[in-house]
Amino acid sequence: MIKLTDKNERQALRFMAPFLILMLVFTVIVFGIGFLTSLTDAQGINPGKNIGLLNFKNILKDPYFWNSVYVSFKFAAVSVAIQIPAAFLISLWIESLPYKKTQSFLKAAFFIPSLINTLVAGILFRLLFYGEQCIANIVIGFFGGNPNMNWLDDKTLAFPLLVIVSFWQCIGFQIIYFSANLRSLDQSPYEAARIDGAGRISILKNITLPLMKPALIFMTITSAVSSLLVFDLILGLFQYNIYDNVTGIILYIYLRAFQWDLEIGAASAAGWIAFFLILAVSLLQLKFLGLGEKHED
Amino acid sequence: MKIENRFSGLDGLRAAACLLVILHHVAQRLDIYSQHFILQHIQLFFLMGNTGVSFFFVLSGFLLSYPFWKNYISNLDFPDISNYAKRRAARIIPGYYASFAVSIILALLFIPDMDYFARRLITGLTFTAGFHYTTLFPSFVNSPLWSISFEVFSYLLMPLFMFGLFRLAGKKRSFKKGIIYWIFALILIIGINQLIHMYLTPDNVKRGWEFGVTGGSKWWMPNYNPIGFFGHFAFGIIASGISAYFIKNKKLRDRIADKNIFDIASIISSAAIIGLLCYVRTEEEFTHSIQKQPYYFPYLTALIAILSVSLVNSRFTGKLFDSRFMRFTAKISFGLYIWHYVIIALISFYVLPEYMNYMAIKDWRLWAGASLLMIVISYGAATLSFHFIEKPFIDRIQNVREKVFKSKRKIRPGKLLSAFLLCVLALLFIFPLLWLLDASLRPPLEVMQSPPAIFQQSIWKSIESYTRDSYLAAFWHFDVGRALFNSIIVSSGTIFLTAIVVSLYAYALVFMEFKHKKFFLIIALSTMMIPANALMIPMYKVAKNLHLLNSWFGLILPGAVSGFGVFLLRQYFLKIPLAVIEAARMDGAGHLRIWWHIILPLARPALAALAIIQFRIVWNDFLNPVIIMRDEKLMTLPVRILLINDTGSVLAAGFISIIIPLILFLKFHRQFTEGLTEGLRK
Repeated sequence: MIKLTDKNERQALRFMAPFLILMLVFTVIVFGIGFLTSLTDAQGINPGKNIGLLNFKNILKDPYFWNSVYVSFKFAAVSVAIQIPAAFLISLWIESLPYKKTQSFLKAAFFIPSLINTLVAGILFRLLFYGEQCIANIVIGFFGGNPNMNWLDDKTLAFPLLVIVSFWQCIGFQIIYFSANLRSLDQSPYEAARIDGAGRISILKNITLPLMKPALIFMTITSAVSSLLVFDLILGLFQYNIYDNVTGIILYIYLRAFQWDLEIGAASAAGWIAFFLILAVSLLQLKFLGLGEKHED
Repeated sequence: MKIENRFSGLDGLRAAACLLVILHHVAQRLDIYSQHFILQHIQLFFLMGNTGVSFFFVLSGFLLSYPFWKNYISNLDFPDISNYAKRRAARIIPGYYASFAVSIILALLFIPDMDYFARRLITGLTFTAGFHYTTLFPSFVNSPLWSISFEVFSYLLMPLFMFGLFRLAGKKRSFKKGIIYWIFALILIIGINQLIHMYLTPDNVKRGWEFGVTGGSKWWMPNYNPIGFFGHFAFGIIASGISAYFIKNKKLRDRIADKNIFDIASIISSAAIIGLLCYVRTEEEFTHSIQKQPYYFPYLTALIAILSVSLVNSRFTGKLFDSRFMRFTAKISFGLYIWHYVIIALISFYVLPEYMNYMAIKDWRLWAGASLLMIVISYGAATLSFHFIEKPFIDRIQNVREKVFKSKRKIRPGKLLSAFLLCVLALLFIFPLLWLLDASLRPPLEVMQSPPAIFQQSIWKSIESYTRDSYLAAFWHFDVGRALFNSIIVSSGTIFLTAIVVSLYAYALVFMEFKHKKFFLIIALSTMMIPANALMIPMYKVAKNLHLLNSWFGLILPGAVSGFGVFLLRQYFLKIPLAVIEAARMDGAGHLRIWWHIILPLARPALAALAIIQFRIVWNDFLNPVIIMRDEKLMTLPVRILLINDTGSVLAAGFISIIIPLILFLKFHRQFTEGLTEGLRK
């Protein structure tokens, strides 16, 4: 497919080779082997024998699997719906301030939670939400909410808790990314609008939003994918008492492969299905939200 | 810094002083009784290396008093003292505090009982540790820090005495008056020192090194004291005065220098120093000096002073001393001095336990290996410390004057209020971290309490129950130190590899012409969308077949496939003008050279952004390490944390896991946002 006649082309390939080789080994081959494993009844270290598409059939019939898919998608939808607008508004707010040092302090402060190990974040929030008189309830009570919630032992509160912690951890990078984008915007339309006497809302709607669309789409997709992949946060937050309404796909695969019955083959099949589901989501998002390519050029 | 560069030879002398001190500490580790006769004598000579501290004091006196002498001799006003103070503070405080903080943390983790801990901490922070034997060594781990408070005391005394000189001499100044004044000052110092010996000698209860650090300082104490060390400093001051006189009277100086008298003097004095150290190497401590002062005061001190004067004015020997290696060592000498003992402690905690003890190692090969390791790591640490901790502050002080005053902006109350509100929100985001710190310091019983322990009493009362137990347990029972080390190795390895691999790829995409460019761009970007976590089982298999299980490369190699990195660097490279590349091509530079020498330095902000993003991913990654690192000794922090079954230790380990990313981010966060912004600007 690629001709190597030109010297330059050969050199270009040489420059790209390290990345391409690593990509080949750790994504393409990993991929293929994943598929091959999913066709076997491998269990633990036993390689197993070929059983065709039986694993796929079983997984697709497994209500736990579909539950985990539902949990992941619900979580991703809720998280993205909350995080992206919030991060966007906060970054607009930060960029509107005239104080340089305060701006960089704010960005750092919002970003710091995302430096924390997700597992540790889970454990930390266990602490903040422990017992009926926990610090979280004190804060909630302060703002007029119900101050007597038992967060860690209440199944219905598990999902909101997950959303809260994920919000705390993820929003920092989004804010920094949006701020960087806002700063890099071309200023001339703003000057024109100011001369025309346009209001703040109309500037936001007619200039900022369209200009920021690629960045918003990019962030939406990457955030959605990483939310779909949520795993160690659940493990850290709920530890040995994981309710099924917070068991996401990856956790399901992990539990199947390494905890429940060591069904490597079946778990591989689940991994493959999950992979395509997630890929489909990101492609759909690209399509629906439009102009995915423009961001690249 | 500028003045110091002007004197030839002094860099070499400073480097020699620093190496002497390190060799002294190295020699202390080896058991002298089980060595060969020749090695014993070499070791004895090395043990004399503690005199390096005296070199330091003479050199400091020389360099710091020079501006004062210059103004004195040229009949100018007393120099700007606030500038002097600021420069001293910028030079000493950041590095010293960093080293002191690390030493305190290590001591808390590894030293079981420490007497006078609070006292040492407070005096260590206020540079007053040297005034009492209970605090002479502010840190149990990093003993060389004792000299810092002495040095700071000299920094205070020197301008005071100089002020006296300027006042006394009035308008009728002369070089002779200055030197006579300082000789009297020296006699005064020795006199006061005599009084200290008479009235302030510690009692003999538990006096001596066999009673630990406090006993050791008691043994040292009246002989080592801040006033006495100002005597060493004063020798440097006098040497500086003589040099200033020579520099002012160029003709005289050239006449002497042409006869090579300075060269000969420097050779004779350095030979005399070596001879003296050889001669005293078998003698006991505190002999061959007046008032039992350390470091053979005033004989050695005078020799050093003579050496420095003659080196500064010499024609050849000064250059001889300033080799490239010595210059570099001199540049980072402060860092070497304050960090090398921390490295000794770390090696003894993690590699070779005997390395901490006095003359404990019998096998000289083992000793040489460990010592070489220590010296290499110390150079690395000192270089890092110089560039990232010390230099920024020194630069800041030097740039203060060049800054142009900004016009004041109008204060807008609306914006101020909105900034305030946002700050409150941001603090709410950081708050859980403080909570983590608080919880990790509490005894296990208080951790899981509802309502939280901190609300059950007044805050000051509740803080009283803080202990370091959780941290001790984390380090001793759960081996968090090793996990931290593994995490650091894996993260830095991944960042390094990613930067290389991804920048090469992006370079090809931007600066080379070839077919199917778009295809290569898209496949690289598509890795961004791959949910790698869904492929954990085949990943395990691939790693197993490539023998990457339980290997750092098993985490580093897959980590380097970063689609986002390609995206970011490509965006950044696109903004580099092609003319830069073309010019280099004209000069015959190959792509590889352009990539390394031109593009990578230009892309530093983007690389910083990439490094932070990668670091964040790798440092926090849980799934890959849990699959690939099955061996307990190789586990990274997140995996280790999940396996800890004690709440307090989990919290302590959690807090430890935050510290490094936090420091890195706070250090590089400007470059990070800049790199991201510049990368995205169209």
